[in-house]
Amino acid sequence: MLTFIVRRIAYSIPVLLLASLLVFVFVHATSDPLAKYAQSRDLTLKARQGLAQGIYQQPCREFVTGSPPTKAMTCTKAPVLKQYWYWLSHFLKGKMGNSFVTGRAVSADLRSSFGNTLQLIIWGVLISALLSISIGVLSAVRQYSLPDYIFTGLSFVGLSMPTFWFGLIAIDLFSNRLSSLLHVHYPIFFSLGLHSSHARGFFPAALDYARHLALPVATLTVQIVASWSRYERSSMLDVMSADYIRTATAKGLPRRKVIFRHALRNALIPLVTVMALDIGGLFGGLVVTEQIFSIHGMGALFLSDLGNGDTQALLPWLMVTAVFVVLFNLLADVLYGVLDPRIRLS
Amino acid sequence: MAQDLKAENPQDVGLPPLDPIRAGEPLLSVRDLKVRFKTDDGILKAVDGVSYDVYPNEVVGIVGESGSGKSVSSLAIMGLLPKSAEVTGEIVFRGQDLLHMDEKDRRKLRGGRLAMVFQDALAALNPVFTVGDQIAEAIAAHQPKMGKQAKRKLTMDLLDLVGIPNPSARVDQYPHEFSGGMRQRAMIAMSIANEPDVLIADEPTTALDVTIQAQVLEVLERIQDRTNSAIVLITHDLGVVAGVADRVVVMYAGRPVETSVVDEIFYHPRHPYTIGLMASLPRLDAAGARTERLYRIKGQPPSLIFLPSGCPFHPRCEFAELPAPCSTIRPDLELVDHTYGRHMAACHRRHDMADVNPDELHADAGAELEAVEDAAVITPAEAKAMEQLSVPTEEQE
Repeated sequence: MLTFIVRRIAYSIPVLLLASLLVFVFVHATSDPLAKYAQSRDLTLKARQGLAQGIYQQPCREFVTGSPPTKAMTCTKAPVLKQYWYWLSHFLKGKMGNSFVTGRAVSADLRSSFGNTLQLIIWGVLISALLSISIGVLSAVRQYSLPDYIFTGLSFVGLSMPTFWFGLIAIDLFSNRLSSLLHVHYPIFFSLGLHSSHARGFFPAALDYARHLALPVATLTVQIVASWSRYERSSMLDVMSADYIRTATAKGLPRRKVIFRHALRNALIPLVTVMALDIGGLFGGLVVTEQIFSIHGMGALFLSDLGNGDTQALLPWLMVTAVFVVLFNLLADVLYGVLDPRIRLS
Repeated sequence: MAQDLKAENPQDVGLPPLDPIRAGEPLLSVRDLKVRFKTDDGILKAVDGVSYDVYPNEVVGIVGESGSGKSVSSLAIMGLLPKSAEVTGEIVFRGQDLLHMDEKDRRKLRGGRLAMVFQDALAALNPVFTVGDQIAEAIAAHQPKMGKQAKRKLTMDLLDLVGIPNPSARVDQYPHEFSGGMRQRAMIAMSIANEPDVLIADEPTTALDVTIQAQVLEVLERIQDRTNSAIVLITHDLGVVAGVADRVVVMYAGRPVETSVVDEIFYHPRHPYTIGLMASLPRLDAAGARTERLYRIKGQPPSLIFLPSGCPFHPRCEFAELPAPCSTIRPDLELVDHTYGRHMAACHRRHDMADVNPDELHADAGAELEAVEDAAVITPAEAKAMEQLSVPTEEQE
């Protein structure tokens, strides 16, 4: 198993290198850092030096000092691959530089955004996994019953509903109308950010946190549950008609044990793979949800960086999301081997 | 006086009250068992009135082609049919009517007193649990008081009993790490874990090659000697039946057509279907057997939704008296003229069939009747073969 993991990690390295090259080339093709440089007014000296070294063959004094380049001191632009190498070698050392636009350290922005997104993902995925497995099992075991039809209908609604629409409806109903219905002057569920500044003490803070998380996590969960529960239902249906389920019944096991020990264990194998792949995509994929609930997460950061044409900040963002996609692919493979002994690799 | 053959297993808990097992009294009686499925085309009669008894210590062979209802009737005994199946009739096991028993009591019998070996052991064993886990689970389901160590010990003893080498290592392996024959033996070990009174083996040797088949059958016989179980052996392989069974039930289109002790069925078959089956066996000792084409029963098994009128076998029968009675009245199982081994056949002409020798079917009726059909069946294959043969010839030119 360990060999498999090590080998699989080794395979990921060229994938990530290729991703970094593509990301760098495309980002630089769409946005000219020189133009950005000219617009910026408040770059630090250090930022200019770094920028100049990355883009130009030899350091040009003019760029560093800030005065426009003279004809006598022309600087030749380095080839893209050289620029790429300069950026990559710094990125690998954890040096992501400063934003062209805000001047803040890119890594600090990234870290705080990542933390916020991670909170959404953890709660969203936990709740979604519990709900979709329960719904999937129930729908499969009672196929074509009333609950099965209801959940099938709801999952189609959930799948076809755009995130922004559901998010806005949720804010209107649970943040605005619910408060006026209860005649209170504060929102029951918040629709801005993840914390209030005034919550002090463990329980008030936890309650405040929950009131902030409820709506964005619900928005996220609706989407995920709609698709995961369908996966679980169909894989559970597959498994329930397998011969080994009949064998388990023939042994005299109670139905509860047949379903939860024999069937669910097998039905989880494909679902866990789908889950791992989906979670990997969530790190960069919560753009709309975060925007609607004003959460400074990865999605919101991406939008602002993109809008600013801030290549210095965009590159690490893209790389971090790429790493997580690759990481969760790896996790999916490993989990598959753990859950299914037939796939156990040496 | 009849003596109790087997003491109750003290580990058994909460079983419904069962009659003691006595020699000469049936353990399991099936009476007029019918299984119907509703389909879009109509009602499918998978089993259409099956009756037989299973006595202690005997092996009953149930023979028939695919769709004859042999598997479905055994699943009905185990209570493993889907809810869509409509099961009527009577299944009495040691004085208890299984079809009118509540599900909880039935579950306690299932895998305990009544166990089943399934056909395809690779599909029938759960791929994500070790073989040992799955056997131990079968034990735990019926002997919940047994400790973990005792269960493991018993599991290894069972694997040893069915002839799996090195049980202490094999017990922790997964089904996919076993060979086909070993998987089937593990399946048998699982089914005999609670020393069942009746063991139903549904084509236990079908997916195996011949040498492994022999080993598996030997395991079944050894187990029967040791545990005094009665075995219901379902198969389409007459060779298996001849070697193992004491009594035979031949099934066709959901009904038994002939039943007797095994020698009677093989040496004095009275139903044209059984005679056809015997005639279609390859024989090395008969004259001309190596040169002649094998006999086969013409036509296809009938649709179970639209059964032929009268005797369901009459469209395929070489001895049918048409139109009446064969295509008008469905014959019931009745004793044939001599009563050795309670030989019964469901055929209007059962008394006339005594003169038919299956070995002589090779040359005459079979070949003639099939001449036309054969031409149609074989032509595409032959054409293809000739096509392939002609390719190198063209290349040579």
